Amino acid sequence: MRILIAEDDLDSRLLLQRTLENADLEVSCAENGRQAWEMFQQGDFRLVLTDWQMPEMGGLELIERICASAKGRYVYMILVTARDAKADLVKAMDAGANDYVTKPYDKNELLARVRSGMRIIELEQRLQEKNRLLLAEQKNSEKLLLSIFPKQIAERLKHASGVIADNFTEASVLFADINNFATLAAQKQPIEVVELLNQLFCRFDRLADRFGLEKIKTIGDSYMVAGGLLEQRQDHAAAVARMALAMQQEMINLDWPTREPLQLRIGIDSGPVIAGVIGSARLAYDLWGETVQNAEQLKNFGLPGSIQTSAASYELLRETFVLEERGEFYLPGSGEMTTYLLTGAQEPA
Amino acid sequence: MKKQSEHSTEKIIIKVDEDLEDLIPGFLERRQQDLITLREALKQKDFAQIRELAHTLKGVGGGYGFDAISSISEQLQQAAEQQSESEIEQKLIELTDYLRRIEVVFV
Repeated sequence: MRILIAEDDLDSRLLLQRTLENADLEVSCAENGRQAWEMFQQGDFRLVLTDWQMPEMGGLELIERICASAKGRYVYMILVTARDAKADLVKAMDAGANDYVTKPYDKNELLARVRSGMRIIELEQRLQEKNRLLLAEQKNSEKLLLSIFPKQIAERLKHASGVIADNFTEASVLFADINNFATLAAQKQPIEVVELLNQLFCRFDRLADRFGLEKIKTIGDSYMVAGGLLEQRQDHAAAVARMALAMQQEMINLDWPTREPLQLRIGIDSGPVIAGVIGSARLAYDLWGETVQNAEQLKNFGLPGSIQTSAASYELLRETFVLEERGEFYLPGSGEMTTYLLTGAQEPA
Repeated sequence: MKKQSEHSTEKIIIKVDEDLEDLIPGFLERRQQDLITLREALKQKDFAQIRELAHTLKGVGGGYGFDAISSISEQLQQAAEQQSESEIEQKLIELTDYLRRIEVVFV
């Protein structure tokens, strides 16, 4: 730790320098406040010893400048002066000096005060390091929270302890799974199965991000994503439809040698949903309601490689997407429903 | 009786830290220069200059082991503040005498 000395009187400066150097301390000397200020800005000084009265810039101004500039960096400053009035001491310490030594000083007292200052600087540096680690930890846990919850939900969890439950009147929900996955998986090593799902779902996560949708969860080989929840939007059905088409494309691109190609079944419904966070261990953000049930049923009774939508979604998509009527289906909870198969986006007119 | 000692030729032994040995010749040389400056300032009645220089001397003397430089200079500073020429004269004589009689021993 290099110490900065500001002292205009040659003999005082030499004495101070010699005293500190003989105590194995590294010292840089300035002949006035301005020079000290320039040196301070260029070097890494944590301890400054300064005279009061100096030409060009006095000790008090130097102290004030250092105080104002040292953002987040603690600088211990000792005023070494022949001014010995109590009022002077008060003035200096109020200006930001940490300690005050009157000249002529006792060599041992001066060194003891310097050592005391160095201890405080060390403590302060340790504190800073702890703060830095704490901040890094905080960022880590925040990152973790964000990887589990949508951003807005993570914020609410951080700041409030009450139940999180929202009602969304207009949203779209998509369920997807791999057709006949259990049978296909049985032919592969567990590690291969996990790798495949990981690879596939990571791609889906990126798609969800790209289309501004919320990935809700995965259950086995089933993937759930929704639009229109936390970011209210009119085009939630269209965004989910684009996601579905992109998911089918990802599936085609996926390289996983099996006897028969992997095929994705997708179901989409639009309508009101309830969203919230449940559980005390392994909290999860989840969705409930008929719309969720329907989307899952539409997926379950869908055709491999196709995207099946409800009548409600069809109404929202028909003008911009290509859909074919599939027929009437009985959906538990909703009863008879005409369903549609989404095959692509309409060419812009 | 004390006044007589001002004109004594008896040496005053000053024990100085041997770590400062190389600094002492320069230090004492500058004090001789200070005496000239102070004399000149007194002639010009430049009390402010006397006060400032005395203030500096007060601060630096004791640190090198010359306690009397500090104590005489403190009185000199006060005399300059009061603009008392006779008192300043008196202190300059004391300081001159002290500097003339000291003999430094390094310990």
